[in-house]
Amino acid sequence: MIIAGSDSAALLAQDTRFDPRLQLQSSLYFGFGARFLRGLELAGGIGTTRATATSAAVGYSYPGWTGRTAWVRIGYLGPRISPIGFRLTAFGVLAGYDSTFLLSFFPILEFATTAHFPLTGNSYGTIGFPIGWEIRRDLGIRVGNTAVLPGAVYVGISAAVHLSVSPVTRGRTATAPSR
Amino acid sequence: MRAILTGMLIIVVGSLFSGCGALPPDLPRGFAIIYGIAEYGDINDLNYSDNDATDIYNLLTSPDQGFSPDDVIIRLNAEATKTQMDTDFAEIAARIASLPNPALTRFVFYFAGHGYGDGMARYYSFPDVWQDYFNNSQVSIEPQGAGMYTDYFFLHDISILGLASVDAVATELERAAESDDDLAIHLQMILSRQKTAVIDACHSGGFIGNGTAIDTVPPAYDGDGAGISIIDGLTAITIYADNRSGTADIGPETVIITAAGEQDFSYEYADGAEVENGIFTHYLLESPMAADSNYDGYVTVSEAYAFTVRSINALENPSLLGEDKFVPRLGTSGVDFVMFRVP
Repeated sequence: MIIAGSDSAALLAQDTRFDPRLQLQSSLYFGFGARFLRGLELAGGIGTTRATATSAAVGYSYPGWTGRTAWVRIGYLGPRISPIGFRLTAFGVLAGYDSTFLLSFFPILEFATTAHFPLTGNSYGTIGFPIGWEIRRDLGIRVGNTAVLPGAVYVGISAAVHLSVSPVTRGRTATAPSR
Repeated sequence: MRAILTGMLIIVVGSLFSGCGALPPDLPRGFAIIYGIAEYGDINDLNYSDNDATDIYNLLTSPDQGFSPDDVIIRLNAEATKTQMDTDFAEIAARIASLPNPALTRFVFYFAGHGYGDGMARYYSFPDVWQDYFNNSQVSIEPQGAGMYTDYFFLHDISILGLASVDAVATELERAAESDDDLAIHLQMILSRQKTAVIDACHSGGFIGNGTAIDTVPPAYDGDGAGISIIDGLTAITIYADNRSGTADIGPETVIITAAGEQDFSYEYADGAEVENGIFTHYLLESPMAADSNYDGYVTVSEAYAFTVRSINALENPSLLGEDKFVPRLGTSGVDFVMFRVP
């Protein structure tokens, strides 16, 4: 199975010293996967992620960055690609801040509920609603004066096309009574 | 209708003139300590380091940038000693701490003068005992940071002559030089949440810590090597996995911009040149007018940095030999501070 997709998300970025800001983030990804009889899907691939800088009007901004990603995923589509499923994805991101030579690494854990729909031939599409946690050391979410979570979180929407190399079985199939 | 148009005209005209006078309260109150040393005793004088400091002072205290002259300390040449720096940091730290909300301020430290990095054997004019100290001082190797060694900038009253032992060299450095660790301690005294340090000196890249990010340009820049390699990626992963932190070098809470890497020289224009500044500071002074890459009316530290890099690579490095080429360095965290407002 060949997978190609994109994500768009709103990232809640917050340094422990500053107020949080929403940072728009989008990504493209490509990979390969396999689907098993019980509806499990395993996949992995590469991608790129782009986060745009927030406004500097308050005296500081959360800078933009571009990341190269590698990802692995486990998902559940149901035995015959049911309309609703879910997936858990782990990313490794090498991110470079805009206009600098700086490079940093951080992992991401993402959970998404997914909706599947048939496309032409051996392909089907997926719409996902991901929630992700960027486990970064340079950011941290706090409530009041209390640090509650290292890193940053995002919510978004994703879309992907899955192209299978074997026929896709959807829904129930009618069986003729045996003699 | 006439009344409505008149009212709209008044509003438009009022908006046009509302930007005049006081700086709009979108940037916090600024404090700064500026040091520029062109006159030294035992080591060679520089041409324009004092000019650099004066020009930075004039820029920060200009109406567009909004630093009050009462909140900025500038020391030039004979005034710029280690003892005075200790006093100045204590004074500014106390002033900031006395405010109702000290964190809601911004602080800038600027230095222009001679710099040096431990482990370097390029100052052949230094007496042998200094070479022995810099080349053989194993204790100064640091486990982290963009700097592999302890790095220094020299204050006005440093003396390199007449020292009999490496211990005496260490004592003299403690008396009359500011190490990266010393500056880290000074900066920790400042309670501003927006701290920026700018160092225009040779080997200044060693002042940058890399607790959360690595510099993909090597410490010695020769015009190549600015891309991301597999080694860079693996190093970034290792830094993350190690979760490095500590007091060595300038921590990520201070954004730091330096004129050159740890193993690079920075340069100034020749005596009698049309531009009477260090090369890096010259382009830094131009950045308020030329570095706003997203046209939002503000120049952040990374925008100013990128402008100096582009300018030096395009206009200065082509005339330098390979190992003499240099490029500014940046250390930052997940937040980019506004450095200048566009005039």
